[in-house]
Amino acid sequence: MKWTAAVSLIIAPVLIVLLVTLWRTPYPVTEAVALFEDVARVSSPARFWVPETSYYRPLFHSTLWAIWHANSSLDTKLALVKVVHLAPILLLVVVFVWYLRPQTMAAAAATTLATAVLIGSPGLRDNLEIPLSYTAMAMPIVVLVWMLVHQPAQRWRSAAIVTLVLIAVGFKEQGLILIPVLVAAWWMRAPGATRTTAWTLVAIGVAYVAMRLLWRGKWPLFEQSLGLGFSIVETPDATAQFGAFPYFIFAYNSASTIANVLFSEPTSGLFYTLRDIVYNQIQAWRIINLLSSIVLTAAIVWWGVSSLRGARDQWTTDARLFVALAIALLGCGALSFDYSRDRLGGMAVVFYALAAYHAVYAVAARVAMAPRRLYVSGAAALVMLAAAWEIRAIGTIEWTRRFAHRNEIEWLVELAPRRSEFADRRVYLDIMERMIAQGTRPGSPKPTRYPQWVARTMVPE
Amino acid sequence: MTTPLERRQQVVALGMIAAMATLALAVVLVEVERWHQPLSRLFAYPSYSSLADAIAADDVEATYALLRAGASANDAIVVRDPALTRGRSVPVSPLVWAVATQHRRPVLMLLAHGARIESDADKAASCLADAVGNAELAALLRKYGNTLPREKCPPPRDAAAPLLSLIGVTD
Repeated sequence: MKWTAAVSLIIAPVLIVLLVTLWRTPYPVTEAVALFEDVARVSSPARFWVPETSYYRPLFHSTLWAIWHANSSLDTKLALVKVVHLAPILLLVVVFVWYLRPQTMAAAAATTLATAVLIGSPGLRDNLEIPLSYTAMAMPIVVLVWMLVHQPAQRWRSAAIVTLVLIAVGFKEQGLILIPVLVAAWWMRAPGATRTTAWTLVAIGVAYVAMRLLWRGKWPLFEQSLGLGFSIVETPDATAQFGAFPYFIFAYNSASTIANVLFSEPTSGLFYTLRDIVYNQIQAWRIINLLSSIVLTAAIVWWGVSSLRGARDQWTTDARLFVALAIALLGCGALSFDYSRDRLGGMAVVFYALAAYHAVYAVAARVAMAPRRLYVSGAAALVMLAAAWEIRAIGTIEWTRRFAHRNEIEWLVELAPRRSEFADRRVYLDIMERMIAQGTRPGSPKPTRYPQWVARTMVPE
Repeated sequence: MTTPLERRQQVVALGMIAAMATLALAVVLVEVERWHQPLSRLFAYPSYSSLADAIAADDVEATYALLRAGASANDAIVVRDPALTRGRSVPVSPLVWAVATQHRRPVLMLLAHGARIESDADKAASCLADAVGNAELAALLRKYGNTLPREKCPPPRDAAAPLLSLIGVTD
C-alpha cells in the first residue's frame, strides 16, 4: 500500500493541475455551441439513437440532452457537462494505478512511468478537448474491463463487462475495439472472459455493424481533411485524388494512427518531426516525444515477444496484455481508416501504458543483472526515459492551457462572423450569446511563460 | 537482507522515481508561485494602459480587458504613429485604429463587443482597409460591419496618408 501511496503522491500534482486547468477552461465557440444547439432543439433524445449520421454517439448526446433539459441554470448545465468530461480522466488514472498497485520500489517506479505514459500520450491529450472527449469516457472502461477479465468468472462480472462495453460504444464507436480484445481474452483463457461473454459481445458487434450499414445513407467518402506526408489534403481534393481507389489512403490513415500511438509520429498523418529534421528546424519537444516513444515501444516489443515465447503452454497475463495491445492498435487503425487523428488512438493508449509498466519493470530487472558498465548505462537510460515521459505528462497541462487560451480568443474574435453566418439559427445564437460570459471570464488558463528553453521541451514555440 | 541484485534494482527504481518526483515537485512549486505571485513574469501577460497601444500590439485580450475595465469601444482614442499619422496625435475610433494598423483580430473583437458603425469615419473603415491594401480586412468589414462598399468610398485626399485622409486631417 505504501508504494501505491508513493506513486499517487508523485502523479497527484500533474493530475490535479490538469483537472483544475480543464475545469477552468472555457468552452470553445466552435463545436460546443453547435453541440448544445443539437441537444437544445429536440424535445426527446430518441433522435440521437437513429444511426443515420456518420458520427454516431447516442449515449454522449443523450447525456448532454439530459443535462441540457434539466431545470437548472446555464452555469449549472455547463458545469455538469464539464464533470461528465473530467470524471473519466480522474477515474482513468485512479483505476490505472489501483489495477497496478505496486508492491515494491521497482514496481512503483514502473507504475509512475506508466501513468506518465498514459497522461503524456497524444492519444489522451487529444481527447481532453472539452466538450469533445467522447473517447475519454471509454478509456477508464478499458482498464475496468481488463481488471474484470483477470478475475475469476462470475455472472455479475460478465454482465458488468457487457454493460461497460455497451457504454463505451454508446459514447464513441472506438469502444468496439473492446469486442475483439475480449474475444481474444476468452481465446487466451483469461479467467473472467467466458464463452458466453465472448459470444454475447460478438453478437452485439455484428448487430451494431449491421445496424450502422443498414441505416447508412450517403456518407461522404472523406469526412475530414487528411494528412499525407508533409501536407494536408482537403476533403474535395482527397475525393478527386483518391476517390477511384481509396484503399491506399485508408491504409495510410490506419497506419498513421497506429504509428502515432507507438512513436508519437505522424500526427494526423503528417510527419512533423521528420519535416523539422529535413528543414533543420528541430524542436526539443518533438525530439523528446519521438525518442521516448521509440525507446518505450522497443522495450514493449522486447517484453511482449519474450512473454509470447514463454506462453507456449499456458497464456500468461503479460502475453495476454501484449496480444490485447496488438489488437487494440489494429482496431484503432481500422476505425480511423477515413482520417487519422491522435485522439483516435486513445483506446490503444491504455493498453500501451499498461504494457509500458510490464516492459519497464522487465527491462529494469534485466538491467540490474547486467555487467557493471551495461548496468550503469542501462540505469541512466531508464532514468532519462522516466524523466522524458514525466516532461510529456507535464506538457499535457501546457497543451490544455493552450486549448483554453485558444478558446478564450475564439470568444473574442469569432462572434461577429457567427452572428452573421448563423443569423437564421435562433437557438444557436441564443446559446452563443448566453455563453459569452463563460468564454470571456477573466482568469481562464493561459500557457505558463516558462523560460524558452523549458517551454521548448513541452510545447511548440 | 537485501541481495546485490535487489540493491541494483532499487538503485535503478530510486533514480527513476527521483527524476519523476523532482519534475512533479517543480509543478507544485510553479503552482504555488502562481497562487502566491500571480503577477510574476511566469504568469503575467503584457498589459497596456491605453486601447491605442493594445490594438497596435494586436493584443486582443489586453484590448478586451481594457473594454471590460471601462474603456469604450466607441469613444475616440488619441493615436500617434510615425508613418500612419506622420507623428501627429490624432483622435480616431478604436475600430479605425485597428483597421489602420491592419490587425484583423482587434477589428473582429471590436465588432463583436460593442463597436457601433455610426460615424462617417467608421462607415468608411472598409475604404481605409482598401487604401492600405488589405482586401481581407475590407471584405470582413463590409460583411460583418456594414461599412461602405468600395464604389461609395470617397477618394483619399492624400493617398500616401490614408488614415489622415479619412479623418480629414491634411497638411
